[in-house]
Amino acid sequence: MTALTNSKLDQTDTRRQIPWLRVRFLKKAGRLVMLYFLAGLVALICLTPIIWMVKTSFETTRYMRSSQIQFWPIQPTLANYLNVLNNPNAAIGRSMLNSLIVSTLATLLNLAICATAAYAMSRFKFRGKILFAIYLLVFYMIPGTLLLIGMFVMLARLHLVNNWIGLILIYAVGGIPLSIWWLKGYFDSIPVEIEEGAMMDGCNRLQALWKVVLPLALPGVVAVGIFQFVGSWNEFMMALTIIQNPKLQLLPVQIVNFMGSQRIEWGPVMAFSVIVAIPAVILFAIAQRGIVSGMMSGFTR
Amino acid sequence: MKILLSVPGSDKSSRFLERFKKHSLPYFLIVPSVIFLILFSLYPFISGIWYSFTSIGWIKDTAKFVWLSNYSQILIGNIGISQWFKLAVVQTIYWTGIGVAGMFFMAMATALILNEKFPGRFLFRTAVLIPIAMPTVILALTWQWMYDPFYGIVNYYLFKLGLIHNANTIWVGHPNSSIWPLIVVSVWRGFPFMALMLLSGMQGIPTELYEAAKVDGANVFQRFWHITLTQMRTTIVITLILNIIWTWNSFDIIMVMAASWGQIAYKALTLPLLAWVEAFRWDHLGRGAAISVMSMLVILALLFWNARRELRSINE
Repeated sequence: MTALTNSKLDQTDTRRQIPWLRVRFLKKAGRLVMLYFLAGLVALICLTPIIWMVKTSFETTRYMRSSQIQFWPIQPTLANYLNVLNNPNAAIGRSMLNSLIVSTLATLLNLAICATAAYAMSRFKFRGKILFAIYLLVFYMIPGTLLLIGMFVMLARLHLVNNWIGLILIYAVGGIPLSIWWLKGYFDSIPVEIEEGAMMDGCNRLQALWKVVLPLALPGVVAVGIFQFVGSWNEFMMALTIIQNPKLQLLPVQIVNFMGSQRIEWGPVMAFSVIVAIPAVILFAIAQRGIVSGMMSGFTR
Repeated sequence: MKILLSVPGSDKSSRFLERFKKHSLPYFLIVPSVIFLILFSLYPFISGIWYSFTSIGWIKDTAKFVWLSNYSQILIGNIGISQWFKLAVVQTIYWTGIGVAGMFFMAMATALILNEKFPGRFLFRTAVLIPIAMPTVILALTWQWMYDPFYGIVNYYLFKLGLIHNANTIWVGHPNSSIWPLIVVSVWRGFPFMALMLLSGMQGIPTELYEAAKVDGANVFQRFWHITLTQMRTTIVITLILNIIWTWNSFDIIMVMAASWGQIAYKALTLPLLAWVEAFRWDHLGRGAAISVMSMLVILALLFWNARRELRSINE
């Protein structure tokens, strides 16, 4: 019986070997073609506006206003970049420096506050922990406009409107829940034994955190920092409302002001956009590995 | 911990000190963040709610308690702010409901594609990542340029495909323009990140499950329905909730495309935008706060059940 089935199987196999292989090959190739088609479609959807932005930034005004639409500049030129870099209305250098200062300080402040708190959340059980965790979650649901109104009146009374201090505090605090959850995830992944070993060697808890845990969690800390930096760099609403002095203005608001200050010239505006986007994209690319998993670990608990 | 207790000379007081030290350390560690949170989030939050009950118009005004006057001005009547408020409620629901649904559809498709293994996958992953990093403001500006009535590519392609009859259709930047073109931008802006969130959940599903289902004769759709969706339940719920909150409260796209220069397109404003315009454009801080509070109540009601679920698992 078994011999019969075996021989039957062998027979069918040899008879169908080649067509069967071809079918499998076709199936595989078909799957790849379909995947490339679909993935290409998604990439196209994602990138079309960005390609269009970059293309416009290299296009001369004359050809921008032509009925001919193509994704490569008809007559590539750097005129828009030169225009935007030399235009006193754009003030790109100053606002970039402003953004850099504000984002850096906000990020450092945020990390300093959150690293210790995240460590406490990771290693200790203490009364009030749940309350703290609840507040971190509720914080997400508070609408930005409501916070902004309360914040704005408070800052105005402290004479901190038109001042970076208020903005830095807002950015640093706005990132607290995410940073704490995220860093807690990193600290959780570091075995407690390592610190206990350090404490055996005479460190106290804080020294252990500083000398042992933080260095081990450094890639995570850097990812969190980059995420906070890019978040502050890209933020619009708070900067728009709190900073009205053009000399102190940050990049995202500056570009909108620049656009409103004249008849809309899309070439320079898009060139400005490209200049603003590049640092954010580069930083994000460096940290992208950690960002999604880190964010999700904060919420899937 | 044994070391602490065997410290030489551990009389009663120093032991108390040790215990205090041991138990107070977590509090010292969270104190900075608590102080910052109280001063710069809890206080503005509560004072914002308080201002919604006061007559405050601009920062120099004294905040006089006026009961529910702001709320009644917004809710009762059919002209001015109450008209815009009713419009904005409907628009916020469209903006969030249709926006997040669109994002979810696109994100799920993207995640399913990127979850497959094929050569060159990382290139496509990068393509999806690039828009995520960019400031929303400049993406909104780019879309405004693409929507340009005369030279924009949106009109160009839609007209070429015969989908619109007027080659110079005005989509945005007009006082009467609607929220639909902005929802398209919001979906485009939101779906890549959502796709990454879904993808991270998808990668946690063991492949054995799919193989077992294949052996049992389940087709692609059955496998998607019974394995992918079931296994990703938590990820999907969290992703949806976060995106609902973000989309509901999102500001930049509408601000840039409907409220930043020229006249304000009220037919394209959502509640957060209406609150901002009321507070900072028309100097009615109190009323703006009232609109924000009502906006928040809706989103809180929507999300209450999740908070409860979340709390149960926090202190594990």
